[in-house]
Amino acid sequence: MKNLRPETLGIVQRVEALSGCPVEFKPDSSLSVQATLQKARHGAAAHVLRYKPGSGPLDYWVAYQCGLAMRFYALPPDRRFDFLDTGEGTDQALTLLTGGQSLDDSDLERAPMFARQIEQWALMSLLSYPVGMRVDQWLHAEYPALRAMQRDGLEFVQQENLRLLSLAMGRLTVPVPLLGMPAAYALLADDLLATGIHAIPYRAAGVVGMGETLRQVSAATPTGPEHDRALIDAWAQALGLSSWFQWRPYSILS
Amino acid sequence: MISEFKIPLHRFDLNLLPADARQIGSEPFKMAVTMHFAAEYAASGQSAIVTVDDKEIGVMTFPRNADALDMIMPMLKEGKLSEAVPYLEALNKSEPGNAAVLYNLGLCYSELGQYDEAIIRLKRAVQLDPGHAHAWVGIGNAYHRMRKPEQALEAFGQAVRVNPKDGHTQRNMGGMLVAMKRPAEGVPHLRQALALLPDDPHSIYGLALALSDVGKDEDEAEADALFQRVITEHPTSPMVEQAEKARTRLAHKRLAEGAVGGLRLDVVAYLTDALKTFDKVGPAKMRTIAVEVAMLGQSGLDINDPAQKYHLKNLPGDFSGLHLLSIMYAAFQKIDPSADLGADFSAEYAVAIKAAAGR
Repeated sequence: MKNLRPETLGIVQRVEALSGCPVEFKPDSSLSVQATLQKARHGAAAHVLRYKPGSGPLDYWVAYQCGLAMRFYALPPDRRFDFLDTGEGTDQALTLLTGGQSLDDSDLERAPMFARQIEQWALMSLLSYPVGMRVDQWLHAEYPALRAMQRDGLEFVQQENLRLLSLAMGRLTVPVPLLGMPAAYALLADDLLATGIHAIPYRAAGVVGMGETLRQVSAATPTGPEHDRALIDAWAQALGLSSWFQWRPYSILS
Repeated sequence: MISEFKIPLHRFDLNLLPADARQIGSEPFKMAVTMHFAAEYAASGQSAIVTVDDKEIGVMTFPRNADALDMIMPMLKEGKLSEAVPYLEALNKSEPGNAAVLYNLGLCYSELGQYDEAIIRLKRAVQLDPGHAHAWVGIGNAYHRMRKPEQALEAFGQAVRVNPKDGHTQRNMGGMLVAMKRPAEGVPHLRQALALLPDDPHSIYGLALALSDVGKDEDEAEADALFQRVITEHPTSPMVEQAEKARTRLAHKRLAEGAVGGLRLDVVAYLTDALKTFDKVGPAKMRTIAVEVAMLGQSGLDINDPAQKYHLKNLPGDFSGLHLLSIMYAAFQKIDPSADLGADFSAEYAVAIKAAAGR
């Protein structure tokens, strides 16, 4: 990747050094997110960083993904874990979706499908937001040369997240407590970018309180990568998602 | 940074509003919501346009020093007209004297088929800015779409008076006159439009159409050349097909004008020769010749220029376009008389049959 900045390439090299595997870059315009990093396992010789070409600040997407990977590989192998869906979240998401409101037959019919989508989104957010926010803080502090790209990336993500406020299937909408996760990210974006604008929509939707709670949870958890699992557990507890997932020891061959 | 989001009404935190503004959907509610966002974003150096309908709140934010209308223009350029209308309406409320906002609002309503709403906004725009020629054009277009040609023409006329140097305005005026079967009056406007927009295919086509409708020989020659320009200079234009049809129409008209006593004697001669040739070469070769002429005809045969010569692989000699059309006509009378070749040589063919039989 010749078009990446030296700082970003340095972060990539740190992942390669920590994990002992090279990082391969693959453009993928079918991605639903800006970039993903698939860790080398099942005999793969390299990590694969897929990115959506022509979609915003590539340096930031790469640095962010590599930041997450660095925290993972910074742990000794016996402290690495996989995050698994227990399947219990769908029913609880259904309760959150349908509780306290009268729904017509069509809404009731589609509620299980929407609940499954909400569960999947919530678990993905729970896995990525708390640790990802640590990565954002680290990038901001350690890589001032990447700040302009980070600003573009954060603003892009914030704009994308705002869709959650109006995401609906009939009268079914994303449950308020779960919107605390993007609210927390918006509060962090405002801090890092020295603005006050990203939290405004969440304040209007009455969810910024949960966002602040989650940030307090993060502040109360030590920042080292060895505490990332505890951080996610603490967020899950605050959100009522503890039974939705479980940890399983990571195996490179599993 | 520009940001846009929507919040369902029921999701808005009523605790943020004054007690007397918490009835969802009420006017005090709408006003308080608007004020809430305006104040919140103002505190961060931003401006916000807020819309509240019966389902959701829409908010568009942008830097305070930016022009609000500039922030909405990308939506218009992307064709998101129905999404832009609430923001334009909100902007119109806060800036009721802004003719540019009213103009864009009027165009949106017009494109969305709400012509009455469009005309109200556009007339208000020209009240505020009588020199807004494009708003007059917008009024004209809305009336035209409402099938009110007289009102449309009046509006286009106003636009021309306000700004005679605007090519689009002249083009609309000329086009309207042509549509109203007044092509001679349309020609000067379309000439002016073409002078101002020399490469504009609409102006070229419009002038060509007007000239061909006027119907004088010299006008038709100019029209034909202009139709040809549309075809060659703007090959991807949707008007190409119409231009081709118009050229064919003009060519056949000139062909008919060349008839003596109702008959084209040159065509009779070509048909007679063709029938004789077909007798000699047999039906299979005749089909081959007919197909070759038809293929050649797909790229255009000039049937009004005897000097223009074509060659066939399957029949020796130099042929004019009219000669080839006659050969093809004769062949198709034997192969498939119902085929429409775009030319009616039935009278000439009847004479040619007799001539060929009596040789």
